[in-house]
Amino acid sequence: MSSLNNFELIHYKLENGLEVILNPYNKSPLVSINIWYKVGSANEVVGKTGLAHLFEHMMFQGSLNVPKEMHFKYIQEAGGSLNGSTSFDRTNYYETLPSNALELGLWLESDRMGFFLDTLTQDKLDNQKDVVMNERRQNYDNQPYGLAWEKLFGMLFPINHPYHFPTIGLIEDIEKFDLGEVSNFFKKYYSPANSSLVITGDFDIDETKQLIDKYFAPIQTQLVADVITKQAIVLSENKFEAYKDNVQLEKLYLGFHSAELFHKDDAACDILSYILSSNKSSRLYKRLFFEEQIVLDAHTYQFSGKYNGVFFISATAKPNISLGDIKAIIFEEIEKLINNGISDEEIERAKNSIISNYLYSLQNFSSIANYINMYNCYLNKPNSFEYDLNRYKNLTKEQIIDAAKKYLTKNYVELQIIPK
Amino acid sequence: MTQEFRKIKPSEKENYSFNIPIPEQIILDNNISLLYLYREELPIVKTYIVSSTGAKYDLHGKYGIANLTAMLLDEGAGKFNAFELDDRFESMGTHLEIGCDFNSVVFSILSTSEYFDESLDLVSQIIKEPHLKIEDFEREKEKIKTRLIEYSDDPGYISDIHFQKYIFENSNYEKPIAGLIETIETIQHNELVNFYNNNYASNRLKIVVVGNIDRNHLINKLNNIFNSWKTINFEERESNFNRTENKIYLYKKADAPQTEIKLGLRTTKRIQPEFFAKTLINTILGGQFSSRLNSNLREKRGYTYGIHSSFQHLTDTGLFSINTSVKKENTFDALEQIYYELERFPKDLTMEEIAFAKTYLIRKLPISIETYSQIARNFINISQFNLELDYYNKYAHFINSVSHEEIIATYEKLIKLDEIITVLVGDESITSMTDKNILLSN
Repeated sequence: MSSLNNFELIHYKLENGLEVILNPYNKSPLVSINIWYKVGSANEVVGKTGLAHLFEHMMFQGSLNVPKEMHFKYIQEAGGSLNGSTSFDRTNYYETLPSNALELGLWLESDRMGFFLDTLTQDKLDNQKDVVMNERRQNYDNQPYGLAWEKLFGMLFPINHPYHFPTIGLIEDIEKFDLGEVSNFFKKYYSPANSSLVITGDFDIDETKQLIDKYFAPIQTQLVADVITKQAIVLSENKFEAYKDNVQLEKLYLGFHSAELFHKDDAACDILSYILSSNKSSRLYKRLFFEEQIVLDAHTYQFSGKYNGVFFISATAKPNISLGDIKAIIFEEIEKLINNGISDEEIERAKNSIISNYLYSLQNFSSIANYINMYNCYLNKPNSFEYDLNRYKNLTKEQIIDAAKKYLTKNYVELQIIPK
Repeated sequence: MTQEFRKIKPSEKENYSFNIPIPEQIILDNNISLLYLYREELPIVKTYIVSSTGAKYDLHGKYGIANLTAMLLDEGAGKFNAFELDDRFESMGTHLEIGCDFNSVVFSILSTSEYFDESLDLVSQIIKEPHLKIEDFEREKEKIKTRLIEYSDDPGYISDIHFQKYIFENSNYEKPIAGLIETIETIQHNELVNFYNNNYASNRLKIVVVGNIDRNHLINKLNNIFNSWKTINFEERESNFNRTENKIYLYKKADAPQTEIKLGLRTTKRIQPEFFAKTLINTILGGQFSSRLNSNLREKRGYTYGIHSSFQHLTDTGLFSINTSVKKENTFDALEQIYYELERFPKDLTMEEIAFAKTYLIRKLPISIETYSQIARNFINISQFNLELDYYNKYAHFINSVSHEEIIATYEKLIKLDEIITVLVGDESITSMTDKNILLSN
């Protein structure tokens, strides 16, 4: 029986290595299928950036028994919704369907897992290369401050580090991908042994196991060759770049190497972010926006990757305000936090926010299924809801201050985006 | 080697059933309409409070005053200053968002059941007793002006506001919801306070609540909060609209690698049964991934990351628009293909396409009512457009009843190619790629 942070899960592995996690939960007559392939842009090499994301696009172009454009159409016709996403560390594909269409979803996912190469063509590849280049131009090149994250990660991580290049890739790399590279990428990374299948929702367990066996068990697997090893990154000195962009207001970004996902300091960095910038009375926002009135906004964000983490601080300056002044105040506030501590109210507010956000996410089967996959792939324990919540609930003020001392007093990266 | 069974697409299991929730309508003591649905699976409550005080009620020349007023409401209210309000919401884990559109200011509240009462108390103070202090007014006024400076490089925002300007010229909808820097500059504190006093009242509110909260408790709570709040005499503002003519405008954005394209025209407000024909038209033309526009411009030609169309319904008018972003060199080829799709739609629309669209719209009802937030948003439609309470239960029937002939007739009535306005946001060099007459918008 499931409770709100302890779900009923059936976890097993097929002979071909595919991990399966079933989460029966019948609050709505829906099912959500969520597959993680343990490959992302972190697996790419210099000169071949963007392949993982391009490949995600290719996975919607049809497979042996599913004509081009029909993957989407079949799901929509059944009343479902679907999408995929690529990050540094993984690629996921998901659909939510009326529960009577579960077999359709499994058929589609297994066909492209097992038989994608059979219908890979140059036309499809050329088409999706164009689509991805449009995506890059639309979302990054043609947006104010659109290149900020690319530059920041490029400054934070050395060129051979998995996180140096953006997941979308560089246009000059995307343009050059050929069929052989796409095919090899599939063979290397898209196999059952490198993936994890979660189903959440209203389904019969035995029937579903049979369907999974029918569709996925016959798919051959390959072992994944490369292993990425974690490398701690230490900046020997501060790094700085001023980049001119088509913007009207100057914007400051600071990046500090911090804790990776599920590291003992990861939750503390999240809470630190809340204390610094989550609401009107948060340290940075209150000081910079209300008291000094020198920014339009101020944000902090703990990026927690599988291999490394980064704590970001950003602020958009009002006209005629010096970014140097803003930066000085940011460091003043960090120092105050470290020296004077934080209040009980601040930490409780942050914890309550996180706990209620978790509760709100349970409305949605797709969100639950994705959590299960995240826990499985990063912790090898799909039922880690309680563990994850307790990471936050059990934090002390001292641990948060220690995280600030450990990460926000070291060398950092500074990017200024200024008008052309 | 593949298995033969994979060649056959599996069918859906029969005997699938789902319940479409019907809200209960309760008229509170002072005639405020409440739509309510009890749900117990999770200890949370989704609430919308909708106030008919949107941007169409901006004072003449003071465009942006409705939005600025909405921004100011939670900068101190009742017994609490802005920080205290925010801290209290965060402590409870309550999400409050206040948004202004043309018609309304919408208070969107997601709370746990445990903190529902206190959350509602605070929101009611925000609505009924905002401080509207002059120092907060000055600060928020500067904030929105600075924000508009920031947006002036955002191609999506620019295309939206310029498109709006040409489509709704000389009407209440012409100016952006956030206003213009020059109009916000002229807004005085006393004018904003008067705007608040003259527009916010109990008879301008509608409420939707979905979640784990007892009905009688909720009714008592809302009555206690609102039944002694003022009502106001209010005259709805008339809107007049000009007919548009087929024109292409360019807003120059130097060195833009992409051209943002937005085109469309004014149509009719939401009336039934025409609404269902419009919904089917949109689904087939550009309203989902497998639509004609997306299949052509993205999947066949690779011109774009995505293109979509929509019909929007405001209380006294409607709008049809198509949006996309393309590589600048493909700007006019993309436009040509968009027009190709617009022209051919009534000529070769197939029964198969209509069947797919009907199936898609009807079968996605279950996933569109999965969360409390989704259910509550659907109920807002019922409330805003005075639909029958069981509208969503009849939706499948309404959609299925639309014939091929009705779709064509509605399309030909509404989509007049000689009235389409096109706004491009991109590099000026694209004007040399066409012999079309391009009017400059900046």
